[in-house]
Amino acid sequence: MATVLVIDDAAFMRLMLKDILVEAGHRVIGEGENGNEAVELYAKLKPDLVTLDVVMPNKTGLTAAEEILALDSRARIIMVSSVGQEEIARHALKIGVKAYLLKPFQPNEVKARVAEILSV
Amino acid sequence: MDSNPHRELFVQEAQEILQGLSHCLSVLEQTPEDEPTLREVYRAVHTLKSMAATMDLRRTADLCHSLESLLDRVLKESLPLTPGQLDILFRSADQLERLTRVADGNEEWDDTKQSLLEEALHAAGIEAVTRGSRSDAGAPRLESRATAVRARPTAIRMSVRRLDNLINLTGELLIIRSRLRTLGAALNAPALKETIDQLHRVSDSLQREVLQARMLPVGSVFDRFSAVVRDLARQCGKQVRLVVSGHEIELDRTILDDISEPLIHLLRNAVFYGIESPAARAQLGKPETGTITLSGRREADRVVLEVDDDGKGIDVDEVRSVAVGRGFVSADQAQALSPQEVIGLLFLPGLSTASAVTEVAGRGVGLNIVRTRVEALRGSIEVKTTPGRGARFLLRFPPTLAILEALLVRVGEELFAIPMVDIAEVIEIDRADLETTNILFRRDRAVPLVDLAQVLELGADAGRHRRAFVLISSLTPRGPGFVVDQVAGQQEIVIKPIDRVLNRIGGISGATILGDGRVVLILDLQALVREERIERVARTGDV
Repeated sequence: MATVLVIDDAAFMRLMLKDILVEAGHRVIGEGENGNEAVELYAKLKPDLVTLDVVMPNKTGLTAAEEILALDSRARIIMVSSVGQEEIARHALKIGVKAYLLKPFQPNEVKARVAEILSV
Repeated sequence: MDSNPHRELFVQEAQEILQGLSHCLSVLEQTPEDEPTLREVYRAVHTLKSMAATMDLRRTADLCHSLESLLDRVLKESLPLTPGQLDILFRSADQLERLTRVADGNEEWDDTKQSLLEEALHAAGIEAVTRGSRSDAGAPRLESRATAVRARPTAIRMSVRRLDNLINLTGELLIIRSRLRTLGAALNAPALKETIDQLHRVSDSLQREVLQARMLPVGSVFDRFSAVVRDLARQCGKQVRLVVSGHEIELDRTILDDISEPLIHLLRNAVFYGIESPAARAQLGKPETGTITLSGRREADRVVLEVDDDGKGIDVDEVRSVAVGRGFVSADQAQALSPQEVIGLLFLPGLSTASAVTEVAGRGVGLNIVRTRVEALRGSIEVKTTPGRGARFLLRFPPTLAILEALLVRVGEELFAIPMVDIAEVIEIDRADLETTNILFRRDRAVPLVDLAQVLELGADAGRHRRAFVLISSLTPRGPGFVVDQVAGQQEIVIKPIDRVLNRIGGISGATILGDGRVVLILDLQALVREERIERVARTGDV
């Protein structure tokens, strides 16, 4: 049971992810639409886990991930990307992001990834 | 994953994204080298793709994927957008909108368009690579260097039904506070009076806010039209550009919803009837590309939407002769009509000056429906034309449909509400004066009079009173003037729509509930005048 911050510029995608997380017994304590909100909300809410969409206006997921890790080097971040953006996701892993998920969400994979990260 | 409960949210969000997309495309039409806007298009398509994939909407996801590839190539290799590429983007946006409607259950699927489009996208993508002139390579840069062209609004979504409920409840609140005021006046309690005053102020503010929530900027509708005009111009081999202004002017969402089709019809008319062929224009010394201007502005308490073209204008004599030829009026009657009145004939169903019925326009139904729709929204339409120089169609609307400043009048035993905006002046007269004439002379003008008791068929009893009032309407420079028995006061009323059956009785545009609970019908003077006139013409043959 973890607290999660969900960041994606599409409300629809946030809802999809939220549904899966709640089903797995976690609590979504915040939602954000862009990179700036991601960093602000992370600092404010200090969730156990944050999911970050790669493509967002203003500040990208990648930049937000960097800034969050600068705030908290032990932040648990999952990048969410589409097929075709794996390069970015892999780069994110190098800078300290814990995992990445592909859209459209496969519920089992999401749950497995999340459980993995939380267990460390 | 059960996608059905999420379908509504998907559709709402998809529509929002497509609207933003549409706006970006009209920006790109003016400035095809605008990279930040093109990136925003990329982002929109990208987001929609994920959403569609999640909902298992394969066709939408596939189309988005093809679009993404094209956009990716253009961004990497070859800005600015070519007209061909822009064209494909417009067509793709159309198709995505169609697909969203299919997803919403509002339309049947038609496979032919999609495969052609996908082929075109593929071809365009290859072309973009071979054209490539930029030296940057590497992964698509997904950061925006500047902030997004249109920041996502800080807004929430609400169903229209919920909004209408809020408005209804606010309306009821206003009625209840009226009653409270009446009751409070009977008691002598200053503290109560003061509290009721406060209630009054707060509920006024509440009503204003709630009604504001119904307002949307007209830009949300205007942005779609560039594509329409381009398509149409291409179909008839003309060169036309659409200039849009006044995006941010706000209008009631119901009006906006219903006004798209009429506006498109006017735009089509402008392209088909108005703008001349490039050759003809060149000969006339006009620029080969015709210009249509679609604008929105506030004028006093109305919102005005205007469609202007710099084409050949309306040929009054041609309209006259077609009207006679089709039996709408006799030759003599036609001669007696003023140019403005002749133009008015264009709004009759079945009259069209096109010599052939084509797929594009000319079925002769259009302008009549435009006017009906406009008037159903309590608007009015005016046409101005200068032969050889162009035509202007002005559509005027009250900004909001929900509330209205009205004059309450008594006709016989019945109470009616008349929109203040339709009334220019109110004067008192002696009924005896009406026995010999039905024309009133006022400020050097002859104002024809219409007896509301007669028109509304309220029986011979009505109008027995010695004194009467004439409401000189603002419909035309000469009124007409409507005779009523009494003026019972002016107040702001909340409009309740009426049942469809009642709606067919011309002359009633809605109803309202007064503070004491009485239901009062709202009169549509424009409709009454028209019925009256048509009847009179039919009866006496006198125009």
